Amino acid sequence: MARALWSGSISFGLVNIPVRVVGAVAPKDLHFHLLHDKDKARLRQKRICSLDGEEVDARHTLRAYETAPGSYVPLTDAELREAAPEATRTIDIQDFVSLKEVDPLYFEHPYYVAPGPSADKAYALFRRACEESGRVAVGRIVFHTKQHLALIRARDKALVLTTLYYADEVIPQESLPLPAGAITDRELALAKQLIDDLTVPFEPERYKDDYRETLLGLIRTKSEQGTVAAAAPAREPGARVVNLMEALEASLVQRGRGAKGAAAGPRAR
Amino acid sequence: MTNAAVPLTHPDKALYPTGFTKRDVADFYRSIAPVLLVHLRDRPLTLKRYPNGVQAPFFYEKECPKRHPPGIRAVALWSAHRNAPLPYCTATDEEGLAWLANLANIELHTTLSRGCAPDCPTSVVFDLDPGAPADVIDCARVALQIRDLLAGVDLETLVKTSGSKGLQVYAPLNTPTTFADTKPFAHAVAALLAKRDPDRVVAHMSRALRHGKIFIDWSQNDPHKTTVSAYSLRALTWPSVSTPLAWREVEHAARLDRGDLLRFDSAAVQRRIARHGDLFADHARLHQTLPRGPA
Repeated sequence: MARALWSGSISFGLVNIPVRVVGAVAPKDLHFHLLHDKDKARLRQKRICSLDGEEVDARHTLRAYETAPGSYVPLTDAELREAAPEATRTIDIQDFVSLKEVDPLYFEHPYYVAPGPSADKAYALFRRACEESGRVAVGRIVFHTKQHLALIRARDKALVLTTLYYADEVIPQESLPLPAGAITDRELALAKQLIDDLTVPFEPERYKDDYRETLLGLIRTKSEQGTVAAAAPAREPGARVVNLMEALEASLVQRGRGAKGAAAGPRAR
Repeated sequence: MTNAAVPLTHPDKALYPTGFTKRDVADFYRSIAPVLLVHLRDRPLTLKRYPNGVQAPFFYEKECPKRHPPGIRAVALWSAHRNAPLPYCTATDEEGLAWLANLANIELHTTLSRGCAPDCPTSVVFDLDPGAPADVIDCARVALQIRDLLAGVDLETLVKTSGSKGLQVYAPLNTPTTFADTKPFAHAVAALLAKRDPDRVVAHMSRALRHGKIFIDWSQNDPHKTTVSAYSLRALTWPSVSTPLAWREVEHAARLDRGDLLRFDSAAVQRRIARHGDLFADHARLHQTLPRGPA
């Protein structure tokens, strides 16, 4: 099993079920690195002060909230820690609702919930009760320092936790220019007929990420053809190292006992 | 078995496929504590924990757990990542070692500096990593080159196995210096050897170029990096140990082309310590300074 991202227990009333939360999805997006076109070396990011153009060390940074353009309220790490939700070890169930009522728009990220140590019985019972009642649990979980709204439901033999967006994070659809025109019954019947004709069972395996496949194919071909930027000469030592190297060489030559001549070894001290 | 003041949880759990248990790990570290602790003294440890043994996933842990026995002392180092000080574990006695073993912390990885002077390394390290098909004997030949080169500038060196595939050469300093001096020095030595012997040695990280050569990793001379400690077990399929060597052993093995002479398990290391004492003792007590480079 994958490493637990969180362990604790599901809790409501007098019920307490030890569980572990593990990832349910592993996005396969391709990530690229930025190289210098000239020497193919990796580029690094630096923090540059916008005022004096100097590079800034991490210990001279402040977190601040922009209240108005150019106007900031700084918050210390201690203040941020103070305000962070307590890293509780429980998923507090607040309500049970019917899954049909939950708009998929709120779904944020899915996780699996696995039984914790000696929790098999309680886990199985809870899963079965959720399944047979058609209800899902709504509660709160603290991941790292963020408190999430979460929904727990039965899925086959497992429990699945999906973090949810808070209602005030969802953009109201009133902000869209939505049509209000009249539609005839005939048009509607025709459109529904077309939908029916194209309706199949949902089989997610049938849909592939064509873009990723295409890019991976291209990368494979280029790599087989030897178009590998990593083979470019690695970073040459800087001036200080080169100077040191020359000084080392010079002092070895001067003593007439370089790397090849020092058969006596270093023990004579 | 020694008297366990720190009770082990699941002492009979095999951490290695050879059946080497958590108790065996704790007993090994306890048995060699007098020599091991000298090298761990005041050095912040990065924990590498194998809760389900060497063949299951491990995780790194830098922050010292809040609850720890008196044999573990927490020292705070600045963490740029967190922008706050972070407490690290340092081991001070046998029970501290046993407690680390109980966390299934099989390997001991330490910084080159001590917690009281985090910018001041006590030695320069050259970590020799063979790119297959190069092996430990190729490492041995490059290690001897480093020894001879540094002897040419009056620096004595020590050598140990990494406990995995390679060797590590140390030049003990134990005098005031900074990583800003040791790192470019190590880089210059590596670059010089790579220049002299380009068919055998590389001085940069690119894995693609390492094939059949020895990579002299100089970059570990850095306040943020850790290197496996002398006498640390390694999480291989058997309880291999990072073992201090005498230079004549390295010469002997190189002459005979016998890599097996440079591989030691926990029992062999216990016997070596009983017979020869601590071959790495100079690492903590030899005072040397880097040659004065160009300004």
